[in-house]
Amino acid sequence: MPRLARTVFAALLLALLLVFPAAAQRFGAQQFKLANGLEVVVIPNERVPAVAHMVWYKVGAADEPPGKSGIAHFLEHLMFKGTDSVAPGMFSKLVAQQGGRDNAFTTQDVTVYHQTIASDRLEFVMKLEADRMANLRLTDAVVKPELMVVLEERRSRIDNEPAALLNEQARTAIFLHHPYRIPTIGWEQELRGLTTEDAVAWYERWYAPNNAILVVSGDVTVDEVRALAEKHYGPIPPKELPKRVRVQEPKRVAATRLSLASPRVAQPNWTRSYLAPSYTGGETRHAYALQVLADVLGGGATSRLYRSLVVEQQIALGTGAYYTPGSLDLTTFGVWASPKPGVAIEDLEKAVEAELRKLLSEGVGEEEAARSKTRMRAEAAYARDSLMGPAHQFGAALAQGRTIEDVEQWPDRIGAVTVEEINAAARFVIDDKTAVTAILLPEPSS
Amino acid sequence: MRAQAAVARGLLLALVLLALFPVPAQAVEIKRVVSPGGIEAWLVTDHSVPVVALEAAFAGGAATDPEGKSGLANLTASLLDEGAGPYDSQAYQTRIEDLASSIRFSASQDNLTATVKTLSENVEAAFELLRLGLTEPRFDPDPVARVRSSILVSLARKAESPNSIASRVWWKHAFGTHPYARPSDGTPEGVAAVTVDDMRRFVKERIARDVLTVAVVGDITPERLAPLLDATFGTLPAKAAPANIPEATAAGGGATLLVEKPIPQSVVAFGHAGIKREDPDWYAALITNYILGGGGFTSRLTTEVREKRGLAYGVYSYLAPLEHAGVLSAGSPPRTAASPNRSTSSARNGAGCATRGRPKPSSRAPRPILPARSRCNSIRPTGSPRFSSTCSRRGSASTTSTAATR
Repeated sequence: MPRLARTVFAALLLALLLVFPAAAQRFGAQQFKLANGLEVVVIPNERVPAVAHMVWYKVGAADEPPGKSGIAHFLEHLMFKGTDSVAPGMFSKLVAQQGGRDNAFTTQDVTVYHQTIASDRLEFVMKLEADRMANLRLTDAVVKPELMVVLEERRSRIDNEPAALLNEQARTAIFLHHPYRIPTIGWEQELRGLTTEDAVAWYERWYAPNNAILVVSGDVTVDEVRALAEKHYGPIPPKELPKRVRVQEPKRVAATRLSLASPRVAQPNWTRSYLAPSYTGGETRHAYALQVLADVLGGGATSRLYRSLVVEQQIALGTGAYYTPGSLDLTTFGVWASPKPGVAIEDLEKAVEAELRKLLSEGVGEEEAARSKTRMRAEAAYARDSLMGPAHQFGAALAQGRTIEDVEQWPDRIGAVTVEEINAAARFVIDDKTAVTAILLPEPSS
Repeated sequence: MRAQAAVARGLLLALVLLALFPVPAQAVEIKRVVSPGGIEAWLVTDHSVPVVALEAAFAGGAATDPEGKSGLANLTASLLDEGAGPYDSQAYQTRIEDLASSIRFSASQDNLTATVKTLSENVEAAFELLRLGLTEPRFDPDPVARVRSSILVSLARKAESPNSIASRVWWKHAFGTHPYARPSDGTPEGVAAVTVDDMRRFVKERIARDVLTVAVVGDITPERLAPLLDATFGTLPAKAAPANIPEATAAGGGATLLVEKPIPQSVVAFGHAGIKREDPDWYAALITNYILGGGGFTSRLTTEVREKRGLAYGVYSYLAPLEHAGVLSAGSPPRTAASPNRSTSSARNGAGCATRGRPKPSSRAPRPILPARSRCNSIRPTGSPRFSSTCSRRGSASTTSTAATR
């Protein structure tokens, strides 16, 4: 290393040391389990007199039986349609009357319900959430209009967005066999056929305390949460749970290209995805290194791709890299770029490929890796700035079969990633012979 | 100062809301900090997380754009972090990233706003970068060309986005010749016409101490903040040029404007004159709007349109308390086949405009603080692979899938 570079690097290391003590502070999460199998995580945070209350069910779209795509997400909607003691549509109103907010979401792996409310109303939302864990009552009268809502949701999120449509099809190319190839919201023709019986069967099969994780974050102690959880969730009996059948991907041998042209596309886009390991699927040893790699390659205005394509060559308006290690089975690592007007998508593709080849042949440098790790570790400090954010992180980790230590130690593990590990991860994942390339193009309206 | 009064009222509202919570008294304490040089900031000190956030607003935004240069404020704001003082664009960005901080500049109709988020140990260095951005922006040719081109593409994208089309047609109809009729990010012709001299003049005339409002929250004491205010804002000109934006009222009620597009789902935007923050009825209006369409799942609009009839995935209303006009705005994406009748009935008391799109975020309030790296993702098309696997009951939560992963 030349002397100047060494000096700069030493200064950088010093900067890292200055940043770390603050960034390395922990969430202080605590954990226990009820006799019926419900796992509980408490993240004390006294900043405001409020709590985030979340229940994570370890079931998602990838667990759906053939022909019933969308049922996991549809049932999520139906969980607001009433129990013996709460009338249909009243759940959110009751929460709102106490000054709270609530919502829910579904992924391929989990279904999650959450509320934010004043801390002295924690018992109120816990009672409501525990009630619908065991006592949901569904009738055609509430199920049928909600199916219309989900079809509308599909229209606004997917069908109305050419980029979303292309992405939906690209997933069927990256996952050849695994159910991750099916969209979480479901294929329209299967959604239309979902019935009240399907929803009830899904609920009875998967919704049980021994398939759930309770996360409470905020101005509350672990003892308070334990007492309330025992009282409201404790009496719910566990169920015998079906095994989650997750098929594995076959060996990839071919590259796939997809393109979609639409008059509604004003900005072309090029995306290349690679099948990649997650924290818990495939060659998991690469999971931390791939996060640093994504940051070095396309994490910001000083990343390799941005510097090369946007600033130096001036052929792209935007570019980046992405990697999400939080899925139960395999996930994707990808790069994307949007061309500057007048630049052919083929030229942009060649330029990205050249950057990837350079990455694979020369590897990442100590300095850029150190910069990325500093920034990523600092994010742990920003993450503590919210109630829902940490609750989300712990819930997702536990639902994935990881531990609270995995979340607490994330900054250290990122900090420990070496350049050799990043380069090994890059060579493991980036293989253009088996990649999926998706191209979004404008089409003049006729 | 009106902008300051607006912020003050916002903070007051936050306090009132906190007071309404029947919880142990733990209201946020807002301190007024005045620097030795006379610069005022509102401060909430909270040492529990080693993070400091600042927002600095300069009254006078896109509404001051000259005729034919619509987009000047937005283009200028977008270039303040693209090179300043001794740093070119890459050096400035590298400096921000090495400080693990984010600095963003944006322009709304009424304000140019700077937003800083930094670790408390880096406050001085981050505020120095902010000072450079506000006082010594470089406007180097490469970043100017790049950012201009980015904005033009973004405008082209909005011209195809039914949600933007509906919104723009509505504002144009309601405000006619008033600057609020123009989109705050400008028009393609206006953005193309803006020169570096225009932007330098904007900085000189608009970024001044008498139109500045500062709010700071986080791990910082009044004693540390006070001298920093002078160091950061002390060299700004004392007075901004007069803006002379006339008062306006949303007009043209009763009209239904239809934009036909061959798309699977329609969007409806509707609304009429609202009220401004200083109106004595402001808080009553806030609550009324919450009941009408601002309260998410509990609102009357959601109950009628989504819960009872299954007509749409989302429906909303919000109050937009602009500096020179109050607006009540609302919208929904109902089913294609059902839209003509339904949209007229729900818009019968105001100007309605129908096309298609997704629910809007629920307010035109200042944009949330984004992480530093999001600047590159901001022009990414929606439906990108990393957000694809989450469906939420309400649209806005889709990006939580990334938060969940680390």
